[in-house]
Amino acid sequence: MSVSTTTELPEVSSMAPAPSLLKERLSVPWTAIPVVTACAAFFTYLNYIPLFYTDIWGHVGYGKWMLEHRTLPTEDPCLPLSAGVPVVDTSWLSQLLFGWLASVGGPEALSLVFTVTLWCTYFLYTRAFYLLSGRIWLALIGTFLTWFLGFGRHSIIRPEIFGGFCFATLIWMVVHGEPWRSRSAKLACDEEVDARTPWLLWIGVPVLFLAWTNLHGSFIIGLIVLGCHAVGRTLQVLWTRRSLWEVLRDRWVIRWTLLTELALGATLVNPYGVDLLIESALFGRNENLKDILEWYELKLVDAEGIQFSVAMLLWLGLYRFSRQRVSPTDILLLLVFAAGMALVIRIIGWFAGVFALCMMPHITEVGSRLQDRWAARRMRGAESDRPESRRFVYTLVCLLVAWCGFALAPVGRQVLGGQPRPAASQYNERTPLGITKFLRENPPRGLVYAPQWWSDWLAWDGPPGIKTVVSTNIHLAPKRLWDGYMRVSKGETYWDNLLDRWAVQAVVVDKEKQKRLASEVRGSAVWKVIYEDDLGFIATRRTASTSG
Amino acid sequence: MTGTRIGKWRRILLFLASQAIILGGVVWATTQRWEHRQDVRALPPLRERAIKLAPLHDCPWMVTDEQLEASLRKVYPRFRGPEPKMNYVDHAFRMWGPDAVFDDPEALSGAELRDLLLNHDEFAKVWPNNPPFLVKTKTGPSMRYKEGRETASHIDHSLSSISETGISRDYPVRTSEEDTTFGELVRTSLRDFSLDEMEYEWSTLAYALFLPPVKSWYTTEGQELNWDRIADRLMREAVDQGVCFSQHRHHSLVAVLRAHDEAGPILSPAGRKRVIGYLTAVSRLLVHSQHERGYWDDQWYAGKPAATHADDALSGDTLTNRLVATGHTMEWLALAPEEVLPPRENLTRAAQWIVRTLEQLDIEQIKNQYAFASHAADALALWRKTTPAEFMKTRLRKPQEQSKSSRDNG
Repeated sequence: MSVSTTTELPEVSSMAPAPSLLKERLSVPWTAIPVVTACAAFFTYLNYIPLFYTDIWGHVGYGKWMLEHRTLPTEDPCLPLSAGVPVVDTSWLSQLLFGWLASVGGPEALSLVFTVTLWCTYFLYTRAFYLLSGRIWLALIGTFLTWFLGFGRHSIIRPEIFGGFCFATLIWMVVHGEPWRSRSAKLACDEEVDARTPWLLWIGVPVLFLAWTNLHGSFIIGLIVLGCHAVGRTLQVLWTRRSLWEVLRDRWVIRWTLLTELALGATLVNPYGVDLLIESALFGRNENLKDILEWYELKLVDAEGIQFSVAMLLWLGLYRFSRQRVSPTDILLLLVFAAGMALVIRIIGWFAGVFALCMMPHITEVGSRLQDRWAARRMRGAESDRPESRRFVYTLVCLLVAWCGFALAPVGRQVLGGQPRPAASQYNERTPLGITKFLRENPPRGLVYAPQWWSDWLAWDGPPGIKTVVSTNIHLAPKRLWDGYMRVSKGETYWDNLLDRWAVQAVVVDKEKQKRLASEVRGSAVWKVIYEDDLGFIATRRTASTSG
Repeated sequence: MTGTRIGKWRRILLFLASQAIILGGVVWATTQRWEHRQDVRALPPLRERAIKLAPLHDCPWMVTDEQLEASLRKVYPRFRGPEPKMNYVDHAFRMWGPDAVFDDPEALSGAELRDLLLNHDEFAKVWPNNPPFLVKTKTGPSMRYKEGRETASHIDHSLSSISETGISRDYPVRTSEEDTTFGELVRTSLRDFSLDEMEYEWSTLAYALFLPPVKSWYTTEGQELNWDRIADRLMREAVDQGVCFSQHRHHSLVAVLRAHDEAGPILSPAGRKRVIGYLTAVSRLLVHSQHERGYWDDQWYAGKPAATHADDALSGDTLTNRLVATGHTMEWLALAPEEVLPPRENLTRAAQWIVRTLEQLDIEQIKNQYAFASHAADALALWRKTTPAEFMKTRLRKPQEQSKSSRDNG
């Protein structure tokens, strides 16, 4: 018996059942049960993730502001010290959606859109990897790899989730539209398949980028993916054919180039025009970001560093054992995204998808060989090889599992008439619910100093019109203001002078993350703690400052 | 066969042409937009010459000619010799201006003061062993501050002091490394300026005098500035916050107001109203806090006279505080429009306190707190609707009188 190493979809023939009884058509193999169970469990798990306390509330607040004012913000309405810093709102459409969802369905609606978006994202990854591997278990390995590498970035609801969804869609389109990626051996000579116009790409890419650009600034990542395909394919043809003429004749060189340009053109359809492109490209250069964890450089001792190391080892291992050809496009993608991640660990979410995409042909090759070897061994040991049977009862079990997943999820419980979750479960445990409740009952007179990670929540859940020194829109803080904010946050010398300079009237302190500041404020003769709970406290000036 | 080949050629040429058009278009559009963005964020233009705020009020009952002359003689810039404190040099220059000449050989003329500030060669003669005062920084030529006696006391203090004399934008400046102009010093300041600066009073004063009416401009930090925003920044902190008991903030506000009223609108109507309201409120506080002897002190904002003891202090911190508060306050009030002023009675008492105090302080005491004394003496001249140099021009003693005066004093 020969060992098959093809990555062509093996089940294509078996997926074309004779149009017989409906029951037969709806039958599935038993292997569908663990797959559906995994999907249902993932949905339930996602829906149980509480809403984080950081920037989501800023995005929701922006969305609400836009709905109320029927226009895009030109400056941050909650940051008086950043007045005059222009806002190019790279996530305006996401924010609008968040704002609308929050107004119609409250936090559970936000939670649901997060769940559905992320679930669909990983579904698209699975589908793309399935197209590459032809085996669901290999596709799930690819999806797990994506999830594992990007684990640190998936649990926070923010416009980036829509960017992630668009990214997964792009990967699915790329895999779906491009026959040579995984099946080059089979289709190298199949001119007919190769010559087919990839309508999914021609129509899908501009539509996708049109949406992506307005949903989140990460569309730049998508442009890079397409650009790498154009350059990679060029290099490949140049390498194999050694002729510039052949490069210009190559169908996919032309297609990828035009697709990249088409995508670029689509990104210009937004309220800011080319400015959005410029802002998105320059965003990472903002110096304030250096103080934010997710914008740090890669360090191998950090969680992302460990994940990255695992990816590198896997890369080496797969290239060592895989018999699949290495594509220049994949090498280019891996190098570009690995370099990006080395500079900014935030890239890991995108790196994860690209890494899995580039590794899938090799995972498939190695996995298929291992599976075939295992199957051959089993055949030698067993008397007969029973074909995988499909039964309708398995379908029913799958439906039951899917229903259980939905029913156990908070959204399902509410749909089915259950009680909504208490606030403590809806919101992350570090959300300062008590602080905002106190502030609503005792609105501060002027500017409030609060840690940036709580400022958005304060603006959302606090008294109307509350203003803070900075927010999670840290790129909007002028550099010197941001440096001063950091100084106060760490309780360093002159923290109180800075509060005077900003004319701050109330200070909110995170007791866990701002221990030194907490101690300084408590020991100050100027500030008096007026509210305290397990998470933090509020202090106001003992005597009101005289103003002219 | 030939037809197919021509067709392929045509396709390739079409592709290349489309690439040239698309990529050229993208590069062109992005460049255009980028240049527009850079234009928008360019530094504002400068006036050819800084505007000079003329004194508005002549009140001989506040200070007589004799009293004024005696007071001004006390604050001659007697800094001839090595290592003059640059903080005093720039205070002297802002008070006396470039045309001042003196009948005291110890005093530096206005031109000499200016050269010390703007010509490194002259500076190096009196500060040969110290780093230069005028230096080249990453953002352009600049004046050092807060780094010792050979530097200015506050950021942009020297810049605003020189601007107050109505200097030209193109006035030549020689730093330790290059020849440049005064306008470049202002541009460097504009590049370095942040609205969240700890000390912003002197920068804004220099800008008010040097910037023509512009709608707005951007800081290097990307924040759009306009005069309403700057005025709000000047009024933001509590009234007691700021250098010299916050009186420099008031001085800068007055400069903004005067630039708006006299050299073209820079404030919005609401912004102007806020500034007037603020200064009027400050004036009210001053009226309530003034001591019966006429001075204000570090508690000028308290709404009642603070000091009940040591009323006749003629030395130490108590006197210094009074001289600082009263001198600075009377100076900005002299430049302020009528609508924000306290009653003349309060102003007269303050002026007379300054006259008495300067009279009683000897030359050495004044030299030791020259910066504060210069504000006080300048205020007296301004309340006579003149400048110190202008007033003294006709009162300078001839050399024989000088020597007689020296003998008499000896």
